[in-house]
Amino acid sequence: MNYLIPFLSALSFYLLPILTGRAIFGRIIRNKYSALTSLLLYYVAGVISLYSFTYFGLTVTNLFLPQVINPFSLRIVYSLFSVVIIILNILNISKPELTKKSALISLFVIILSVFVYAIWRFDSPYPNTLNWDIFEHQTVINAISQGKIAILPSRLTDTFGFDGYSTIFHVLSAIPQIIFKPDILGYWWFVEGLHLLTSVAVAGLLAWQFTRNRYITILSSVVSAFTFDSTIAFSNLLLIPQTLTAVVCAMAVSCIPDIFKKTIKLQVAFLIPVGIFMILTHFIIGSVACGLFILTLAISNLKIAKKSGLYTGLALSITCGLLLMTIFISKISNLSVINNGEAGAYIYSISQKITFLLQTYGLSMFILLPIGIFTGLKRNHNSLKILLFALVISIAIVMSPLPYVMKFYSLSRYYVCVLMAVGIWIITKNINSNILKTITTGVISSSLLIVFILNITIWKNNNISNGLASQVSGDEISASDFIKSKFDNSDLIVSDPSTQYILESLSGINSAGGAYMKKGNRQELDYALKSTNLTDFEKYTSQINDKLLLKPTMKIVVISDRTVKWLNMTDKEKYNYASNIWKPSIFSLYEYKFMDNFAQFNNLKLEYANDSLAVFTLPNKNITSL
Amino acid sequence: MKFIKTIRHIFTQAVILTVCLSVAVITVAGAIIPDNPSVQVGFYNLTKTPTGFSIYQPGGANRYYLLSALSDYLNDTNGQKIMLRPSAQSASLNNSIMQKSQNIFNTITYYFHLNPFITKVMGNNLETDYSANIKSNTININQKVTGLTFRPSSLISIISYQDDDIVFDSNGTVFTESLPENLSIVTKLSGKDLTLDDPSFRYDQIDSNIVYLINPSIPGVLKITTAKNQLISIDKNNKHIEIQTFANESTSDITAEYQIESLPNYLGIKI
Repeated sequence: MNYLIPFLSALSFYLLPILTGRAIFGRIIRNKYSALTSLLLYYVAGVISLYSFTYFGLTVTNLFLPQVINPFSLRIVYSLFSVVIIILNILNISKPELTKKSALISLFVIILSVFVYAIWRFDSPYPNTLNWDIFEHQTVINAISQGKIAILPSRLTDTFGFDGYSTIFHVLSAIPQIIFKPDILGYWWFVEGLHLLTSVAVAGLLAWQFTRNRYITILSSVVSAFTFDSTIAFSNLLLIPQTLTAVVCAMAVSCIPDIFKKTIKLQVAFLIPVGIFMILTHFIIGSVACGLFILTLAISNLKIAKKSGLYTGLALSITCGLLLMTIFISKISNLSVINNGEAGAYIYSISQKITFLLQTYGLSMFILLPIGIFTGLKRNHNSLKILLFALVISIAIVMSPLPYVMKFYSLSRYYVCVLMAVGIWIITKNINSNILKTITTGVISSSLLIVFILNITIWKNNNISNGLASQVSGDEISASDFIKSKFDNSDLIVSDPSTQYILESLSGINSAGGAYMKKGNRQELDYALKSTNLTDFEKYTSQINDKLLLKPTMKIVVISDRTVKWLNMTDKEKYNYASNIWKPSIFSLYEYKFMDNFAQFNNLKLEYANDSLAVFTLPNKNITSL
Repeated sequence: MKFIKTIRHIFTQAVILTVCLSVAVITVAGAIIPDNPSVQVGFYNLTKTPTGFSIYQPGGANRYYLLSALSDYLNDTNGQKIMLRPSAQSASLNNSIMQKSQNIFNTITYYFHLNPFITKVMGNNLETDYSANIKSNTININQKVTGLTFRPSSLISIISYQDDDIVFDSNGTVFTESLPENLSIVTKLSGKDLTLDDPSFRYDQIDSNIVYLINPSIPGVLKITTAKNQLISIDKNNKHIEIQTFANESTSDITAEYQIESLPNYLGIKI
């Protein structure tokens, strides 16, 4: 039962939109598109419907009947809505179009995903997390679960200083959390497992749609499962807006062989909801994904494009154009200042990018991908040329000298999976014995699995503490539960960026900017932590504010081992959004001594303490002069 | 003609298989490998060194606790020290392909906690095998010295500590010259009272099989537990925790076994 509720809520992240889309648009979609295309359309149309329903519903109710909005009423409304959706689906139940071979491949994909997730979670068991970003998303989800709504996350929490996406991803998570009230970390644990399953399945679907070869389909899934792009892209193992966008983009591209035969009207009807979904889920990645999809669809429509020269010519022209444009942009503007300088930490040289690829694929990518590309170019595989086209353009973006571009690799990697699978197929297809073929394929797959384990070992090295790979500790979860039970939304958590980021997310109580604490607040916190009397401490903490909660009743001051580590950082690190104290720990004696002295000097009231942190309270006073 | 066809077929298949195997090997050969494979034990990491093991905190304070053949020694029946003296060959790092393969193998097996740490050290005509089995937050150390041409009375295994470390036994006696304020924090966190040992005693034999080690800048506590028939002594001049294991009359080899546990919090201290 402990696992069932989080699992059901995670499942609802995918299932509820599909059922909603099917219930509302089933009749329109079903007769016009293939089963695969319909499934994608159900999902994106369902998400957009749920988002619209939530946005307009909450906006109007907040305007006219704000008193009726509370967690209980929201739970009733969404539960009733889900029941209606389920009934409508049951009334229109149809026999699934699944052959025995497809069912076996689906079963293989599920087993493969469970196997890889078990390896990934070997030292990070339920409900530990290795996804630092979930805390900021959960903070927005908490706000929505309390009945607040806005298009941009920064309107709901000051944890977001830069709006890279709308709140569609958060509404999608908030609905299952409102209905089921799961353990928050448990929900994320399961939903990331399901995300892995979708990314493995989509790589297989993409291969099947463009090659109609079951062997390549299975291999593409295997490559997707065994390769974790552990630098910024995080495609298959972490669920964040960019990785969800990438899965939907890959699935949309996999629908191209079905929809390019349809009328332009039907193609546009497909493109609109998919495009809206991708752009709302991630403004930048979604827009690029949308552009990439339109280009790929357009070139599929061109009859003249069947001559491979045009694909190559167009791909190379667009690639060169994109690279020149991005080089020009990087020369004329200082993009490293984006997001208070965080962007500067995410500009990589070509050699660094190659190192990341080696960490993800070993040398396999440099052998198998060229074989896959040459196969696509040489053979009479027009459909593969379409994938090549999409790959070359997306890789051009990844290789450009702009910040955050590695994020776009989450779009490219699905084409890489298919083409590497084609490479393996080319090498092994002339082996006559099926047993030998299976063994050799198994050996190549095993080599990818070895690289995967080496890769995740390196990636987790900075996140292991007290025997667990996790970015949050049991002590922090207990402290969040205490804060949740003792304080309310009129209070404000004040701590170092990492601690308040985690506590805000898990307790639902506001903090002064979470991990994206503003420079001024960081400076005041630095002074406050160095103060040796209550008067000074009150002066400095009174300057620490949340732009959305200007007059908090109480300031909840939390001193943790992360706080002391933050205080001991250099000034440059203290003010940098990219510097966080990633892993939890308990107090060392020196850290405890700091906390103890600090509390005594400043005469703070201790509310709660454990081995990792201490929670104090300070009645808020408005002191403006220093 | 058929024979030639068959040979050609076999040759083609062999070439394809070789290519496939080469792809697999090259894939792994090009992978990025962790510099020094280690395994997490509580708040510490355990890794192999050419002469034994090292226990350290990754990314934290630069503290290493070494279990090494460089410091361990045997006592003969006349009370003379016989150092294990590892040879230069066993102490040198080998950067060959074998070393890389070994690192890959170790990284994977350590990830799943499948492989005990084993370091074999040769020197002074003796072979010392260090092995470490990890269960949860505990390292079970087994140190076996073989190739003995004389009858030793005991094996001394040494864990060296550092200037600011706090070392105390399960009676609450502190053997290091630690600051009272640091001791009072330990008392506050563990609920156990600690008393300073007489600093004029430079070599103490402990009336206990448990020693605790805390570094003030590293979170957590290391608990060292020996068997009842072993002795623990503290050499304050050299900053050594010495574990003395007596030879068994029936065998010519000598084996020391003890545990090092990383306690998850200070409440784990039992006095």
